[in-house]
Amino acid sequence: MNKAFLHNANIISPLGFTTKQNFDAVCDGKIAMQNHTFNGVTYCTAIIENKLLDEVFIQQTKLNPKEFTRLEKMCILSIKDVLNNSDIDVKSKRTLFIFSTTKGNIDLLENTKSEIPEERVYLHKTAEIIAAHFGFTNKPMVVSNACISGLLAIIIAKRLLADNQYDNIIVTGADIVSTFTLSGFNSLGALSSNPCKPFDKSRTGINLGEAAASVLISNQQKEDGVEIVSGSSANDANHISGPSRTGEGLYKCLQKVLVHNTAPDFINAHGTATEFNDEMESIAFNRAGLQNILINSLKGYYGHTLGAAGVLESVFCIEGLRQNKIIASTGFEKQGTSIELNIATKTENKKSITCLKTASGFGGCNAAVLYKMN
Amino acid sequence: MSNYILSYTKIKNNCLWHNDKLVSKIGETDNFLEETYKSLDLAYPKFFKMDALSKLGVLCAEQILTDESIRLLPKEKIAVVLSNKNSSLQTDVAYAKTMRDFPSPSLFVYTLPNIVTGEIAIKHKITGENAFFIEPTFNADLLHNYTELLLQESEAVLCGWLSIDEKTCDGFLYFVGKQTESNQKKINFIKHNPTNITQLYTN
Amino acid sequence: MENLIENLKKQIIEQLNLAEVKPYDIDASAPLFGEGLGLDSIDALELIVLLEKNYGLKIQEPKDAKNIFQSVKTLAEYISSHKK
Repeated sequence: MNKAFLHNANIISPLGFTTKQNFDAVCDGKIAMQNHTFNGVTYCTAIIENKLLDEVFIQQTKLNPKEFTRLEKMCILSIKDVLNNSDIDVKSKRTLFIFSTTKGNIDLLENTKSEIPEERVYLHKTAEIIAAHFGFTNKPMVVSNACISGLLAIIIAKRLLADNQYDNIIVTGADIVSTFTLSGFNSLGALSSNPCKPFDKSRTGINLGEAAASVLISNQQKEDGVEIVSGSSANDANHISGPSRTGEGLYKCLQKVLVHNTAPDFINAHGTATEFNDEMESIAFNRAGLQNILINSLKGYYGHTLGAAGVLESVFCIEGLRQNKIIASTGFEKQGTSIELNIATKTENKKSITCLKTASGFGGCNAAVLYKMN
Repeated sequence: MSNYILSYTKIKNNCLWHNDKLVSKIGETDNFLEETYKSLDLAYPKFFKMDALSKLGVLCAEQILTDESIRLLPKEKIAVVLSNKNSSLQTDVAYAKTMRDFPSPSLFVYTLPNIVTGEIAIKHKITGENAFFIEPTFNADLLHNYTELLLQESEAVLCGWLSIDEKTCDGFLYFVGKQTESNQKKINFIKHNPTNITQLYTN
Repeated sequence: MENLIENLKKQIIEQLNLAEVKPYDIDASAPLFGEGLGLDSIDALELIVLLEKNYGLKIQEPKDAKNIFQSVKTLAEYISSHKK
């Protein structure tokens, strides 16, 4: 069975357009969320400035930004950065592009004046537009599985590489902030009006954020390559929008992923900062005996970037392992889950070999991946 | 060891089929999914709260997962791999109509394709692997390929295509597993390969 | 009050898609959540929308919802005492 390694990565977010810019900004404690008004309602949310996005897009691609949606521009920039720094052949039959998103170009439903054809609201169309830009020979694979989409795409990539079906797979996770998602999460009473506070006692909900993140996963070990040791998903079979009270699905993932019962050096959790998600995670981690492992959530910097989150946060896991750095879980002050967790309260240097990444989402889905620096 | 299609269901043209047998046929109606539910006597009132995609999936899954030889499999080893073209677009459009005035939370929670996966999992207590793929058309190669990869660790996979739009309702689910003592006498084994999957879908 | 209670029953059935429930099945004093109608957290949020849409009433504190939504009767009492 072949192995799978993560290599070049990119993040397009309000905090920067490269992995380095993003990692440095977060190490400096920068937070992407601000107050923005959508259709007369003010939300605390993390968005990329349109003007900046278009400027960089024109400069990097020489294309007309009016012919692409915000999401497509973010994805194209993200993949372009990954490809610029690698020598893989996108035209090879052994190269695959996997696109993960929850809502894709959902803003096309809101904006009837858009010059973009309406068919681009179909997720496979969006993926085809992005893939065509780079000339991938294989048609793209599209994964849409709520908030585990990004992490699940990485797990799928690992399985395809292990089975020797491809040499290189580019996984891109992306979602935008829209009136659609803002009003929806607001109707669920799930939004915080201030920057969110994962795992904190006074947490009141999530912020939405937008990002596109990409990573090259290959069957070749190179310098700085981080191995995907194991990955798995599981369903709670409990409720379509409420996390399981026993952390059942996430616990099952942890059992499958931590095969040799060796605890990871640190955990990057889902940590959305809703009352029930963070509580559920504390229960699942405790059931797996991981309550003392250093743990953080990045939602306090980026908000919840939905289908991008699993990829974006995995890029931080890789960088953390490469630079021996554990990022502070910003927003956290006081233990706020029934099981006490060992939350990272300051960004510090710490030699780490392995990192566990988890995610959970609507539909009762959960996923976990174990990364290892070789 | 080979894997087999142990059971399959189809909903098309107001008919529900299970392994080539017509289970339910509803005449001209605007409410085909609910009429079919009633004809099956499911006693699951939550059904009415679901969006059409979830209703379609739950109706298709019911026939397969209540079969005795399948019911006895370990639920944490059953994966659910689904696909369609539209994601949850029909419900997205319905939610978008409410979002400027009174955004509906019960519509919003269905604006993801994999909610149907969750509804099937809840009804049958299935806690295995999940994946939802978006494809322009039914793609037997993709489903076959990923299912075979999952079967290296899972016991069985419920797979298929669930597509809903204003005009059509197209559901096809099939169950892939191994030959066991409890099922070997009962089932007409169909080898799990893309040709057979396509044939079952298009027939 | 009787009229309001009957109207509420119909609106609840419609808004929450309780297709197999008839207004006379709902006991106005019985608990709305837990046993009986089998409502869940999403239904509670949908009832908040119902109050706002049909009666112009906005529940500010989600914690208040628990008391207001105890039964159709408590809901009716809340509406008649808050309606402008």
